[in-house]
Amino acid sequence: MDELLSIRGLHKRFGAVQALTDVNLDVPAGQVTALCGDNGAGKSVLIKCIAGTHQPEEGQIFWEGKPVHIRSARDSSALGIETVYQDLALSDNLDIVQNMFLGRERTRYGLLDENSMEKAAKETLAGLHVTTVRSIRQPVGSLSGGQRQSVAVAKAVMWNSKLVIMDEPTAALGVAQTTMVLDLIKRLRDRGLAVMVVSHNLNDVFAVADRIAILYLGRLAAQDATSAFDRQSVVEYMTTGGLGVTTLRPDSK
Amino acid sequence: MIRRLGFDRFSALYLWALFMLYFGITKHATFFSSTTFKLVLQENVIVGVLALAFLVPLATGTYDLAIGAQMSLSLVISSTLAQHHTVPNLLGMVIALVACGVAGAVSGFFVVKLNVNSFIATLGMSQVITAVVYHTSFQSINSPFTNSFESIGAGNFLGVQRYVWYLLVLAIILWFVLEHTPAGRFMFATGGNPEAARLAGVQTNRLVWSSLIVSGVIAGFAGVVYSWKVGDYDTTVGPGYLFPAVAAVFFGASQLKGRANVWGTMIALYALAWGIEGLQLTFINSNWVQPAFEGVALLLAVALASYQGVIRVRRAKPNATPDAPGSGGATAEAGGGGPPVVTSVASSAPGSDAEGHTGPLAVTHGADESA
Repeated sequence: MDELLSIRGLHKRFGAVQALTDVNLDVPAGQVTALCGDNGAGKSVLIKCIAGTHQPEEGQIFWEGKPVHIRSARDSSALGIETVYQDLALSDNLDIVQNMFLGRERTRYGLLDENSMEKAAKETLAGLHVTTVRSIRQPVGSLSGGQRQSVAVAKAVMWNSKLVIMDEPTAALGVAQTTMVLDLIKRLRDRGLAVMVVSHNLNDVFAVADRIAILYLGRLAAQDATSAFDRQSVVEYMTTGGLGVTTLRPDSK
Repeated sequence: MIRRLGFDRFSALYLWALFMLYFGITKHATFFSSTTFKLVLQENVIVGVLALAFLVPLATGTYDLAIGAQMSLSLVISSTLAQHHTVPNLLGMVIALVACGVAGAVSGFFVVKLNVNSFIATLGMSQVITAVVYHTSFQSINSPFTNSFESIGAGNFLGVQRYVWYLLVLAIILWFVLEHTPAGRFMFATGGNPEAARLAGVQTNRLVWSSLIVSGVIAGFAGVVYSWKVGDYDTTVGPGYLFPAVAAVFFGASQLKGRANVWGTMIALYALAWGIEGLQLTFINSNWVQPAFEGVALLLAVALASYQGVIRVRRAKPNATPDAPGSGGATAEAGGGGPPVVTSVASSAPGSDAEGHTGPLAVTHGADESA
């Protein structure tokens, strides 16, 4: 199995609500996997199961072919999974460097090693061609939406991560900023990272995704290479779970 | 122009200079005397300590309004114990500080475990503590402390009373912890975005809780300073110091960094103190001067910060909602105020951080680099 992340038979329940039912999903390295679905389809629950925020009741997660148990955000970070949340999880009163290192500060003799952190942050941002920020010592609160997204992504890739999960990365952005973030996603893929993008926006999905997986009411309705879909069929899967789609067999595995 | 001269980040320093100049000219004989200098320095130590007590939980986004009452609690405990000669003064002081820490822990319980808004929880605790204070002692207690205890804090050291230096030491310790250790970074992260901090693995609840305990102990220390300085106990002592302390912190939050910070607080405290001193020399026997001045200064400082914040929010994020009042405005101010000048300074190596944080001016320099 050459998939970076494989999910088999995942079930997640919240009280009486069955949020995820028998989800099988594969996320290969060096590709962008788009996770689509209508509101309430279970996209957020699924990524939170991968990120360790939620624990599934049943099912197995394989990481690099080996079964793993992800019980906390720390576990997923240790594996090399980083999540960029929709609300970005940045602290407005801290500057870019401080945000990128939040929770993993470098210290020398127990004190914050600002020089070393600033240097590493600068390198990471330069590596991602994030050049629009004026100073990496400015508070994150003063950045534009696209810049904030870039900082959040840079924060995620800083830790030798192998899989970056992005929740609605372009939801609040304008056209130019969306392009900037999509370019950033492509750059991550070109570096060999696996990227999983949760998105509603089919323009974005078809612009960057190599593979598309679609959730419908907690079940995986379909997953395949992007070329196997067109807009119409994706919408069909999102809204009906694939009842109207005859050209493709859902979940071909 | 305003930004190039740093009026937004250093307004307190300009204000301070203005007071010095104005009152220096109008009241030069009394204003520029070493007696006045010492007096202002010493008179404001208690407010300064309380301000630091307020600052610690504020860094985590938590208000602690019980600090005035905790100061009274510390004073009534140490005074009562000293009056009855049950334990040595020093041990009494320790007991008082522990009691204040416990009071802070109770506030923390309400804030963290029962999810009560910190403003309300500490306001309620403040009344409960006041009740305990009244129950402990109705009458005032005159000079219960031994000379040896008072000489720990009072008594001349390098020209001023020892407790002035204790304030400086406390400020340096807090500055160090808040700005240069992971714990301090986590505290500001908690104050800025608790959810983000939690996702980054910061134990926000524990930080909020501990900050309230630390705040209680520091507030208790303000009571100790009072016992060194005045020596007497009176039920009315304590809550009166709350407002000037809060004013100094919020005014200070608009200084240097754009968020609550130790040296901004100290600069704001003494800028206000010198203004009040000058006014009191001008209007003899005028007790209205202090509250009027502090109130107006606080309103103007926070209004300035919020005004700049509004502009920033409109420009950058149309859907952004401001954070807590005061801190949010101040945060936003830094965002709007990040001028090219500061940027270039900031990107130069902050290696010279160690050079001098003994006086406010030297500190301004250091803080600017890390801003």
